[in-house]
This record gives sequence, C-alpha cells and structure tokens, in this order.
Amino acid sequence: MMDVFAPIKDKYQAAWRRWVQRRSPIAKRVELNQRRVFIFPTRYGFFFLLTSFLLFVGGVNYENSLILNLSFFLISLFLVAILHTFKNLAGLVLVAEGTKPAFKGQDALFQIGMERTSKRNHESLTISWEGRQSELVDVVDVTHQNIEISLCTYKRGWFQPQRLKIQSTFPLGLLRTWSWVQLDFTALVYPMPVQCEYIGTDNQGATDGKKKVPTGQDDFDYLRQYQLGESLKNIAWKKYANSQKLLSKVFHGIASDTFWLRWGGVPASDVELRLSMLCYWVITYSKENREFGLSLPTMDIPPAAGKDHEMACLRALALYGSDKTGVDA
Amino acid sequence: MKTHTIYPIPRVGLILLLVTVSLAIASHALRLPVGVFVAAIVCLVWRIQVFRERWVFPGKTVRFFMVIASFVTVFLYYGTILGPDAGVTLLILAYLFKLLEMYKERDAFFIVILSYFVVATNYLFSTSLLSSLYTFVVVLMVTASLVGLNQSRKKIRPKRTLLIAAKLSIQAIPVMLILFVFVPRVSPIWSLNVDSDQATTGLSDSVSPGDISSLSKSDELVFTAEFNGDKPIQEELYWRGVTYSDFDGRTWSRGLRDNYESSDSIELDNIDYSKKLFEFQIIMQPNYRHWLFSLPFSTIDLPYVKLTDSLVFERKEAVSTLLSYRARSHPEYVYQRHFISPTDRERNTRLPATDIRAKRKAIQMIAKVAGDHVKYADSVLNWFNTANFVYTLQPPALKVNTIDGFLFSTKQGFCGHYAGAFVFMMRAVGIPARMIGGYQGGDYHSAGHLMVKQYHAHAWTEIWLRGKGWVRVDPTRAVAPERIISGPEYVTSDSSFLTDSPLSPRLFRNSEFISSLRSRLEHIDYLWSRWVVGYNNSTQMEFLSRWINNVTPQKVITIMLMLLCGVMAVLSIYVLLQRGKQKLNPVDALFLRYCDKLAEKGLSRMQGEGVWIFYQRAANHFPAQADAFCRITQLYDDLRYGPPGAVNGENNHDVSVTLATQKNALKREIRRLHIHK
Amino acid sequence: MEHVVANQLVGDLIDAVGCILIGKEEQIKLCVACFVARGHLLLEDLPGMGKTTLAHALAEACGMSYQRIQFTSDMLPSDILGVSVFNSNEATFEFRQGPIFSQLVLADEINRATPKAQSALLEAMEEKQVTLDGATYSLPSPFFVIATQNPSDQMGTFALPESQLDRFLMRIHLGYPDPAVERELINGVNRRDLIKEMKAAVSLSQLVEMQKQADLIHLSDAVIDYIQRLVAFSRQPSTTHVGLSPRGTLALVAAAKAYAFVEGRAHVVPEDVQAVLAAVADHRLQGGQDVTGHAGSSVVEKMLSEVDVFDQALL
Repeated sequence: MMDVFAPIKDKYQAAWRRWVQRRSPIAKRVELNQRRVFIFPTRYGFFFLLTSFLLFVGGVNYENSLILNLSFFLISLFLVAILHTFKNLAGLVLVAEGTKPAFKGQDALFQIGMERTSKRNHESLTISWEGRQSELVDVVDVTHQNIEISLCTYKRGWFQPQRLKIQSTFPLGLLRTWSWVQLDFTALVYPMPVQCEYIGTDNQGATDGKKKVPTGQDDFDYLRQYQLGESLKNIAWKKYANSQKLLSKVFHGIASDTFWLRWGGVPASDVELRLSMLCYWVITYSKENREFGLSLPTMDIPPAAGKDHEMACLRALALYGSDKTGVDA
Repeated sequence: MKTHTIYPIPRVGLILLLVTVSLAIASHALRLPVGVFVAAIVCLVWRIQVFRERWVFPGKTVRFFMVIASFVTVFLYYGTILGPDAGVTLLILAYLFKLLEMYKERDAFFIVILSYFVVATNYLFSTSLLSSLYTFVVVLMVTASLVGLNQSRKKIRPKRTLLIAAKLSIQAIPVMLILFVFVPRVSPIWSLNVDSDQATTGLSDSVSPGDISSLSKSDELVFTAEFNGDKPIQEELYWRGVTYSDFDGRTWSRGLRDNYESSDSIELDNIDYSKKLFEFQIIMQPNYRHWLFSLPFSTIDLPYVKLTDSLVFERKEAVSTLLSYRARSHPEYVYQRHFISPTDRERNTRLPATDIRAKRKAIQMIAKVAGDHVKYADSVLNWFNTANFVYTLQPPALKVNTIDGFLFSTKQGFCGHYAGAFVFMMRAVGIPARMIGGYQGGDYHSAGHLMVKQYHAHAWTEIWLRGKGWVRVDPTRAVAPERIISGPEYVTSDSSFLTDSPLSPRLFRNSEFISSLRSRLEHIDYLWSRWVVGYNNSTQMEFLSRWINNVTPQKVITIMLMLLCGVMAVLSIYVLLQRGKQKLNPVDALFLRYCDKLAEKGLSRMQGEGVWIFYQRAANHFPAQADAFCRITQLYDDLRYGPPGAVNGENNHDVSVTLATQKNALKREIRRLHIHK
Repeated sequence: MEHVVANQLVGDLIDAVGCILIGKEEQIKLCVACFVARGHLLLEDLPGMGKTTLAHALAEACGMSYQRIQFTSDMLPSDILGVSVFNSNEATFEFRQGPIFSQLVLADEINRATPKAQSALLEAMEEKQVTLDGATYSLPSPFFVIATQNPSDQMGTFALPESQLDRFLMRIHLGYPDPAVERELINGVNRRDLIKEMKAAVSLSQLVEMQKQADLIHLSDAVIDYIQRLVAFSRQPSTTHVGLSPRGTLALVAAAKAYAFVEGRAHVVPEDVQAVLAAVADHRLQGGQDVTGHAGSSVVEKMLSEVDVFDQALL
C-alpha cells in the first residue's frame, strides 16, 4: 500500500468502526438479524458469475439453447445461494456465557454459547477475533452449542476483547456472509507471576516460607513409618517409648498458623513487578494449602485458605490500582 | 500483505468431486478416443491413491511431460489442436490433469468450474432428452461437490450434502425457467461452427442410382413439421432439399453455384396470398449439411439463409445442432413463368455424350407429338407406366450407360432411376429439367405434427415449360403411384424393409402397446426438440406472442424482471421463514389427534403429563370409554416405549409387520373413538 | 429368575418395609429402586420422621448386614474406615475394620462430621474399597450407603459439597405422615420392635439378580428423547446456573430403569422418569437454586411442567 493513502485509510476505518459500533452495541446476548448480517460475493463468486457469462456467450454463438440454459442455471443457483448463505448466519444467537481468568500474557478463555432461534441449521461457521485465528463451528441438529475461544492478554485488570467476527460461506462458497458482534465479555487478568524470594519478616510465629509444625489436635490423621529427613517434631515419641519404633504423625489439610503477604515483603519497587511477585507467592502458598492473608496498601484480605481465598487474593492483585473494582465478574 | 491460509479440501467435497469428474467424462464417452479413457482412469486412480495416502502427487516434470504428450497425441489423432473435437479432448485432458494438481480448496473450485464447461461442451454434440437428463444429474453432482467443499471439515455425510445440493438446485429451477423463456435470444456475436465430417446419412451433394436404396431403410428422424392451419395431404408433401442439375453420365450432383458464398439470394415476387398457403414450423435434426428443407415455393424466416435461383435454401453454417425455423409455402406459385436465363437454360439442358439409345428414343418420341413439350412429357411418363417398368429397392447394378441400361434392359429401379431417366429424356430434346432430392410424405403423429424420416427420401424432377414456369413431375408416380399416396412401405413386397432396426414401428406395428409407447416417446422427444432445444428467436416470439400482445424486447424484459422479483420474493419468504425440517413422529401425531378429540370434550392433556397419567384422568372423566382409552394408550405405549416387536410381552420376529399392524390398530381405534359421558 | 417372580419379590420387599413405615409407599419404592440401580441414598428430613427406621427396615428386608455410624464433629476418618493397630506381640500392624465394612451402612447425620470424615465415607462409597496405609481393602458386595441429614438445624454442620452430593443416586424427603397413618402409629406397637421381628423378604442373591434384570429394561428412543429434552431444559441459562451433568443424566436413566422394574414394567415410560426426577435431579442442580433464587425443587417442578413428553418444538 502507498503511504499517501494511509491517513485516508485510517479515517475510513475509524468511520467504519463507528458505524459498525452503532449497528451492533455491546450486549450479553446478540441475535444476528438483518441489521447485523452483511453479505458479499467471494472471489469464487465473481469467478462463478464470469463462468456463467462465458457460457452465455458460448450458447449464443453456437446457438445452443441447452448451453444457454446451463448458464441461466448457474445464475439462478447464485441467486438462490444468496438466500441460503444469508440464512446460514441470520437467526443465530450468540451469548456471552462466561470467561476464564488468565495470567497476563496467557490466553484468556471466552465461552460463547450459540443458539438457534428456529430449527434451522447453521453450518460451517468460522468465528474469530478481529484479525486472529478462527474457530470452525457447526450448529447442526442441536439447539445449543458452546465454544471456547481464546485471546492473548496483555494488560492486568479487566480485559475486554474486541469485536468478534463470525462468518460463513456455506453452502456454495460463492458468497460470504459475516457479522461483527461485540459481546459483553470481560475477563479478569491477573498479574504475571514472577518468582522471587519473600523477604518479609512481620509474620506471626513463623520465620520463613517453609511449612509449619501444626499443633491442632483435630488435624491429626494417622501414623506412619518415620522417614529420614522428616521433621523430628512430627515423631510420635510416646509410641516410640512403647514400641521402639520411630513413627511420625501425619497431619492433614491446612496448617493452622497464619501468614501475611505484605506489600513490602517483595524485593521490588515497581508496582507491577511487586504485584507480580505477590501473585507468585499467592499461587505458591495456595498450592501448599496454607493459610495466609494478603495486605495491600488499599485493602487487607484476612488470612484463610482454599480456592476461594486464592481467587479473592488474585482478584485483588489484578484490580489493584484500578477504580473499576466494583465491576461484577 | 495478509497471508492466506491454505485450506485443505474437505473429504466429502473431494469424494463427490471425484465422482463428478467420472460422470462428466462418461457423458463424452462415446466420442472420445480410447486414449483419453486410459488417461481418465490413470488420473482418477492416482488421485484416489493420493487421497488414501498411498501415492504422492506427480512432480513438476511428470506434469509437464503429460501436458506436452497430450498436445502431441491430440494433434496426431485429429490433425489439429483446434476445432471442436480436438478442443473438447484437450479440455477434458486438462480437466483430468488438474485432478493431479488439486491440493487446495482453490484447485477444487477450479475443477468445479471446469466441470461446468465439460458439461456445456457435451451439448455441442448431443441435445437429446436422454443425454440432457444425464447432464442434469452431472450438474447436480457438481453442485453437491461445491457444497461438500464448503461444508465443515469435521463431518462425513455425503447424503446430507447431496440433499442440500438437490434443494438448492430445485429452488434454482423457477428462476432458470424464467430466464430461459424471457431472455431475448440475440444473434451470434461471431460465427462459430461445429463443422465435422459427421454427415453420414441423408441426402448428399451428389447422387448415383443405388444411393437412395440405403436411405429408404432407415427410420431415423430427419425433421418434424408442425402445420398451422391446413395440413397438406400426402401427395402435396414434396419436401425439397437439393437440386441436382449436373449429370456426368453416372452421377447427378449439385453445382457449386448453389453454395452459399457463390449464389445470390433471390426473392419470390408477386406472391398471391389469397391462394393456397401452408404455414409450418420445422425442427430439423442436425445433418451437417448446408441446405434446409421446405415445401415448394417457400419463404423461410431465418438469418444467414439464402434462397438460390434453383430454389434451394442454403444456410451459411452447416446444421450442426437442432435447428428450428418457420416457413410458408405457396404451392400454386409460378416461378420463372415466361423467362429463363440463358445460363440456367444451358445448365439444365446439358448432357454428357453417353446413352445414345435414350437420346435417339427421345427424338423419336418428340417427333410423334409434334414438338409439344407437355405432350412429350406425358408420353414419356406413359411409356414408364406401360413398358413393364418395375419399382424395386434392390435394382440390379448398372455399369456404363446407366440411362440406357435402365431404360432398355433392366427396367428395374427406384425413384432415383426414374427421375434420372426422366430428366435425361427431357434434356435430350432441349427441355430444361433437373432432379430434386428431398423427402416425400411423412408420418403424421397422433399429436398432430408430421415426422419425416430417412425412409421418406425421394427424388423427383422439375421441368421448365414456357408459360407454366418450373413444374414438378414425379416419374416414380407413373410406375408406383402407391409410393406417393400411401407411403414407401406399400410399394415393395421386400420383407427386408426396415426390419434391420430394432423397435422399428413397422416391425411392431401389430403390437398396440409398443406402438403407442413409441408414439408417446416420439412425441416427448418432439416437444423437447420443439420447445427446449429449438427455442430460438422465432420460437421465443411465437411462444411469447401467445401471452403478450405486440412482443417487444422492452416489454419482454420488463415482464421478465417483474417475474424474477416475484419468484425471488416468494423464494426468500420460503427460505428465510423456513422453520427446520424435523417431523413429528407419526405415532405421536396419532396420539395427539386422540388428545385433541378429548380436548374437544373439555379434557385436555397438560404440559408434561405422561400418557398413562392422562389415561387415569380421562378414565375418571369418561368412565364409559375407559376401555378404549386403555387400548389406545397401551398401543401407543407398545409402539413408542416398548422394545421393538414385542406385543404384550411376546417377541414377534417380523418387527416391521407388527409395527405396521399396531399402528393401523391405533389409527382405527382413534378414528372409531366417540366420546360421550 | 422369571420376570413375574421378580415382580413378586419386589412386591414382597415393598410390603415388608411398608409394614414398618406406614403410608410412605412412594418413598419406599424409590428406595428400592435406588437399591436396584446400585445407588446410594440420601435421606433428608427433620429428626423423628422415620429416616433411621426406614434404613433399618430396608436392611432387614434385604437380609443385609447392617451398621450404623453416628456422625459427629469430632469424628476422624479412621472412625469410619478402620484403623491399623500395632500388635505388640507380633510387632506388626493389624487392620481393624471400621463400621463401613458392612453391606448396608447408615450414615446418620452425615453433615455433622467434618469434611475430612465426610470425604472418607464418600470416597469409599465411590470406590467400593478402602485404601489405608498402602493396603487396599474391598468393601462387601452389594454395598449401600444410606445417609441421613437434617436440613433445618445448620448450627455446627458442614454441608456436603455439590461434588459429593453427586455420589448419591437419590435424595429423598420423607415428609410428615397423614393423620390417619399417624393415628395408626399412636395405636400400634413400637416400630423398632417390629424391625427386630422382621424376616428378610429377599435374599442377597435375589437382590443381585434383580439388579441385573433392571439393567435389561428397554429404554426406547422416545424416552431417551424425553430425557434429553429434560436435561437440555435444565441446562438452559435461564433455568439454573449449572444444569444436569452427563453423570446426572446417566443416573436419571439408571433410576428410571430401576423404577420401571419396581413398577413391574418391561420398558421405561416417561412416568418412570418423572417419578424419579425429583429424587435424582434435585440435589444435582447447583444447590437446587435457580437463577431467580427460588427454592430447590422448583427447578424440577418447572422441568416436569414445562418439558412435555411429546416434542413441543415439532408440533
């Protein structure tokens, strides 16, 4: 392309975008109707029309009405294909079903439900984010079909993808029908975890990030053979006294001590890096099933364990510094 | 620049495409050299093996070699690489080789387009109804391949693909018909012609006695004629074709002067329209000759056709496809009444220096009638009639002095012999005369049109008499008048007449069924030729003027556009408002009818209510019919919920029969049900 | 075993239990169907509604060995599964079987125990074996668990998570008895005494045979269509947050087959599906809450009243 046209092209594209925006506002549920579905011949379609024209010329010159008829058939087929291609997309409903959060730099998953408003089949549809790899999907003989498409994230916080392009050339490939859909999707993007050493010291009853000796009686599970390297604190000394056997007590579930991940506990000054490092520790502790709290300058999350707690912490990290914390996931 | 994704070819599309290619080539089967067949099989097998991942695609060198080889072979076979036969063969070879180059969706689409062309070239050679039906199947398959190429790559269901293609094709037919009927037929933009040496039967440029006997045996259709208004009787049906003016002692031939390029077109002037007039439409089968057939003194309404001064209709292009034209004949017209040009006179009286006896006989005979031309002609015919001349389709061969030999020794011959001898006798005394080749008579079909077949081939003469112009004289009539009045099969007692063709109408004339079937088939074929293949400018005008006053192109186009809009609107509503295809199970439908019957009496089944619970309610509500309700519900239960074939717990082997009986029983029960308190 | 004989046995079984727990035929049928379908049962009701009686009566009627575990908050997995005890004479560990090693286990007040103890039971239910200290011990066969829980008194309880509710084929509510039935209760003898006098109505081998027969019950396409419509309805976003899982669908099919068997039919009819739907689907539908926040079984009610036995979409 010549550079001279670049500004014009940009301007035209911006106008086009606005126009499409007006036609397809953001919604959770979008029905592809006449207003939203566009249709235009593909290059195969033009070639097909050229073929029928050539056959027409041939039929005229050879004065052969059957060749003429073939040419008319091709034209009719093209006209009928317009209806069927359009029909293949029109009447489809796209529903924003949900999103799966991702860490920054990873692919966030978006679940899209495809429903049909009638018993009509919608075949061979491709669905893609603007200018990305497309997914092929059929909605044939089912009323509801779910697909997941991913999009790479590049920013922490709430992530709203661009418009979706859904298109199809079914049944004859002579025409392309397409529609732009802006589904009301937001995926939560957590900071990218960055491994580091935790240097915080202000914990209660703990000195480092290693596993603590659990003391709660309720969490005692069973005894097992002592193995070298295990903490001596776990040895059932009473049993040893009885049986001369070294047995260690096995504790189940969460350790009972509490631990605070603090803003200042990571070796970084940059906000994003700090968040990334805290993110790493949240994940690490959750994997170890430990109870911990998270303390950020703006908010504190009291110590707890479990998946829900991890989610809450990651969410707080993801939304740190953004005023849109109120948005419902 | 955006890089295009290379789309692989979906399986269903590929399979359908291979089937399509085979079918498309098969339609050319009888015309193509055997080598093309071998190439077709090799290419198809190769592509299938590639598909099965056994072989690989041929490399560039192999493909290059194949292309060169095919050009060379085609040139060696046909002597040219141009022209229809060689061209089509090359097209088909290219089509086959493209198969071995089909990697991507784009290549497959290209093959689809080529398929349409291969089908179209088929129409250049054959326009019969049967082959057209076959090409319809091929076109359907091409469409199915196109659908298959665009279908999801995950699915393998060719049946569904075919159904979609059939649906699309059927919906395309109304628009196609409108376009076919209404699009104005323009005359050729440039001249193309399928000139091929296919003229194997029928009249030829020259005739030596002996030729026409072979024609008489064939029942191949030459043309059909449909008369508007009066239909001529058999004796009036002299279909003129060629004028044989030149005789070299053995062969009668048409002169170069009658060719399109070398002749001037003449017009029949001073036509008296109040006299007898036949109007007719002719649909001529391709005969690869340049002349057209018509009754004497006709005008033909067709571009690029000249009427030569020997009254032959000469067309610029040979008739290579079905040709339809309108003609008007003025049988009482007098042509060149008082004057004939010296060149014409010279040409039509010229004789070779052979056959002295005949010439001598002619001079004797004209002397007897004192030089009166009319009386002389009569006396020659009278001689033919009385002097033991025999009409036969198998005359003895004549070596030299054919006229003398025929007139004085063998005295056996058919129309060609008699016409030739008669013209010779006329010319011998200076009367301008010529032999006319054409067809005499015809079989009227029960649907009204006349069918002229090869066994109607005939030769007769025209002589020029001052004051009467050119007059038709049929010497055969003097010998065998039945030939003219009843038709060729009455003339001869030869048992061999037409018996060598199967299904010949004469052979089976005793079988009522076969002759009526044959007649019906002929009629369908006639309609196909008349209205579809022969649908040209004049047919179009004729057809449209039945419905529209004052046909003008503007009017036709307006009506066409209106009709197109209408059909497209109906089609859009049908397609876009269609609500899917799944059908209610017939047994369910029966049961719901029963529910409706109950609903009319005020007891309707609730949403989600099972049939047995509904039965309980119904039985409580209408205790009198409880038994019937129970039977109905039990039958429904067995049919829809029970294991197949189990009647009251017994296993029946014939499952489908049981199902049908049960279904009928259910139907009967429901029909019989009358609900009352 | 002939079909007719099987029907007779099922009838006997229901009658035998019905003598103990009067006026609850429907629930007893469901319980028997649950056994026939090899599923575990969750009884949910207020205290004193006859949950334990029902469980005990069922065990006796089937002639199964029976153990009752009273779940408490201080319970450990070893209290259920058993424990390895050190034998000081032989200096080896011996495995002492816990109460779970029994054909029928009544897990009373299951929601009183900690998740740890609960999951010990539920894992054993699913696996039909116990793995402890590296050794695997098979549970007896057949193996049924009847768990009870009290839905109203939530103080100090641990509600079963959805993933574990899924382990139970059915959840059944007993409900208050009719006044007439209650009168009979007042006048009659103590139910628990009656249980002691009960004789097994079916033998264990007969029960196993019944299970096999129930597998052979015919499920026609029409009924499969109906089940699929039900399931699809439950998955509509407007109905629930989470619809029936494929495992839930299979459970529904198994339960419907078993119920058809209990009803003495050779094939499943939609009524069978409807009869078991509440028991099978209720606890699987995301805490029984629909989007509008309506209480549990309203989803099932909606499914029953809005999904027709005929495909409405085709009408």
